[in-house]
Amino acid sequence: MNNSTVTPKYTPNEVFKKPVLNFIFVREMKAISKTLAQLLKGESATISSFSDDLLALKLIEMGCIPGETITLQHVAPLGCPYAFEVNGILVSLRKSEAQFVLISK
Amino acid sequence: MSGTSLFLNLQQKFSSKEPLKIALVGNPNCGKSTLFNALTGLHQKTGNYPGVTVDKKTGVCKAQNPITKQIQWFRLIDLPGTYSLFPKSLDEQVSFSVLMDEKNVDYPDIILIVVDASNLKRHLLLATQLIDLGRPCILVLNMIDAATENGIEIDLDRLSELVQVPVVSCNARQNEGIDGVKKTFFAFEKDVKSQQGLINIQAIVNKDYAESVHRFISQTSTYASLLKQRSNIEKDENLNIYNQKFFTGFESRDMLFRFEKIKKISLDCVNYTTVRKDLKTTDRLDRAITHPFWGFVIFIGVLFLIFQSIFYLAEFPMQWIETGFSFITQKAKQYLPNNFLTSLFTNGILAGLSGIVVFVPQIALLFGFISLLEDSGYMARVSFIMDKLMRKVGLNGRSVIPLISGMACAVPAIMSTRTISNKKERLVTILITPLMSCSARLPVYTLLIGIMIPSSYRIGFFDVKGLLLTALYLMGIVVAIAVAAVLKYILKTKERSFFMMELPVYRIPQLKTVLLTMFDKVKVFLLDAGKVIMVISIVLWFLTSYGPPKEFAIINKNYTEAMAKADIDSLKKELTIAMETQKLQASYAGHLGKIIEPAIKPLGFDWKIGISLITSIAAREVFVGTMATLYQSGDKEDNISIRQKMMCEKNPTTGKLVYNFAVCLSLLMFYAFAMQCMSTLAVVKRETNSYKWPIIQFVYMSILAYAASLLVYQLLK
Repeated sequence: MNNSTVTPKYTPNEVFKKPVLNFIFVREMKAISKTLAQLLKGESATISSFSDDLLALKLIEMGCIPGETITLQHVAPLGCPYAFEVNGILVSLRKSEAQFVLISK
Repeated sequence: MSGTSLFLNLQQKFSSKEPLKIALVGNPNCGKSTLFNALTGLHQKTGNYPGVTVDKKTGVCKAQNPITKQIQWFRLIDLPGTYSLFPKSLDEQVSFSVLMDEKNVDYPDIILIVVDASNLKRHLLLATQLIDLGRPCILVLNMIDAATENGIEIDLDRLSELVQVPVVSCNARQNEGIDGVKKTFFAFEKDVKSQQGLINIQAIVNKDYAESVHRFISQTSTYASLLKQRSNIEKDENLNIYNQKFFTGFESRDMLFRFEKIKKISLDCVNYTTVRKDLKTTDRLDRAITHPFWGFVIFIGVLFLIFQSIFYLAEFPMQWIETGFSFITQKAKQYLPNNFLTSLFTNGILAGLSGIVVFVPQIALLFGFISLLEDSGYMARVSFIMDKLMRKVGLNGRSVIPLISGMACAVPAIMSTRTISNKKERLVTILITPLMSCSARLPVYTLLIGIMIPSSYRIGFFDVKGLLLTALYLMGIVVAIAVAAVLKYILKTKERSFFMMELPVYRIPQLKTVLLTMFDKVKVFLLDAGKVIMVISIVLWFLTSYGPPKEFAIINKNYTEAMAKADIDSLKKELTIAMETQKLQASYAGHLGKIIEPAIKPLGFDWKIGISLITSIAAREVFVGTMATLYQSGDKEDNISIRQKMMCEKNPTTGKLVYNFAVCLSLLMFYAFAMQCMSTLAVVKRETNSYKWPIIQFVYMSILAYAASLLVYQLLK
């Protein structure tokens, strides 16, 4: 198969429907959407969605809902976990858990 | 039962003699337990929920009816903190089943919803869910002072109108507004109204489905029926196939709908005037506490303080207890007739009691500190700082406190593992804590090291004895961590582990809470673990003071004959000591020692050491006392004379010294690893709620001890 003929003429939705091209979509998505794990200390962002159901439930319970502003407040002395401030509370998450939270700036 | 009939039924209950049941429900960190303490005072007791090790706190409280002025009693239960009615952890599951299962003994008549007024928006999530159950609810805005300080003004009347239940504010830490809370208990005595609920069922689930579920399950409201159905589906695989599709995304739709609703409610009745101050203070403190350097300095300082106090501070009251008990024992022996009952009383029951009570100072001190840390908010930070280090071996950041406390005593340390919420991490911590060198090992270590290294050898500046002792302590830590790493792969759990947690704002801890926790833990230990310790203690007494009647009769006869001849006091004393030695050797424990001799011979131990190993099950330091009796050393407290006797002991067949370097080191290994502590076993039994884990622990530690001793002796002999 000649891959060079594939040109990104599709909108993301159309791309998603074609399973062969899924990997391109995933790569693009990764490039566009940042996760909480990539936030730097002191930086803020807006929660856009979650990519893990159970964690999402636990976070929503605490008031970390899409649309809220989230700030990386502290980092543990050994570099992990993180402590985020959202909605007036501090929530600590491991790096591995923070990557399930998608953000936009 | 639904709607109005429920409330009518409650009215009838008010006039009956049976106290009404009230459950306190709220998020973690909402000050629920403080309110519970303020309402009940000392009228409370702690236990376990059946089948699980989740603390169950119940109590009673009396309140005056504001109209009739009559005093009425209420039965209160403090449910474990929960974020929502979608249980995900054991704690939340317990709260859910108490609230939703009518057959549960604690099923409440009134639900007291406790929320943190300074965090109203978030805490209202659970509150609105509870209100939608359609049951009698009271909304308590706790920490109202913190809200005022942080510029949050709440219109209580308007809030009450919006959420359709009575609203009352209080400040449980300062004991303010408690009477007001009690008054609202009577709100349901006359007032019969049906709540229409806050949720729009159609917005979260198919309407027809919801109605059919409600018809079928008929809980107190449609929402309650749905929640019940949801939990049934999780338990029953067969229900799953048809129903599950209706529940996909149910939870998030529900919660997002509620947050929208709460936003509207708070716009209507909450007024924010200034920026929050408590967050700023917390932020400043956290900056120091999570600092790469100062964070660890503070942490190590806190650990050092705890360890020092349970190691040294507890020493004094422990000595008083020991001298007190030995005084009573002495007097009892003096004044009571010398028979079976006296012996049972002094050597069995009193010894057992003393062995139980002696732990009280350490337990009280450790839990005083832990309560201080929990209450102030630092405990959550301990987890935060240590997580990365501890999770590599399958432990929790919070495991550090039990492990360090284990270097003083494993008993309070294991009791303190309740702060670890993950089941597996908690179990691993319980299993490895007794490997830390506790203070009971110290007398054994000192005696044996004294025999191994008679004079003071030095390497450079270091005393070899001191170095060996340090090495033993380090070995305990290293082996504990290694075992944890192994257990990480052996133990399996279905529970998915999350670290995610809330870091509460710092607060000044409350003396009342600290004292109540100390009192509580001591009580639980005395009553629960005490029983097991007592039984083992009596069994050990029997084994060491009785033996085959024939042998004992001969010893007694010889002794009385010799005593009759002896005329000097010192000779009589020597004879008594000699008789004790002979009796112990002839006792059932002595026979057991001989029976196990072939098994412990490869470790370099003879049957006399075998006896000590058996008696040491009571507590490790008993080794020294048993050795004293076995080697006819009169003064049991005198370490040096036992040491000299042991150093001279020769093997009757080979004529070589019994306690040579290899045997001593082998014994040290055995005492470092073996589970020779009935009190720890009793506490593990209580904390794991099973006989399985203490048995597993006993077996694995015995194997470890045997293997280490075998290796050392075979290599060095």
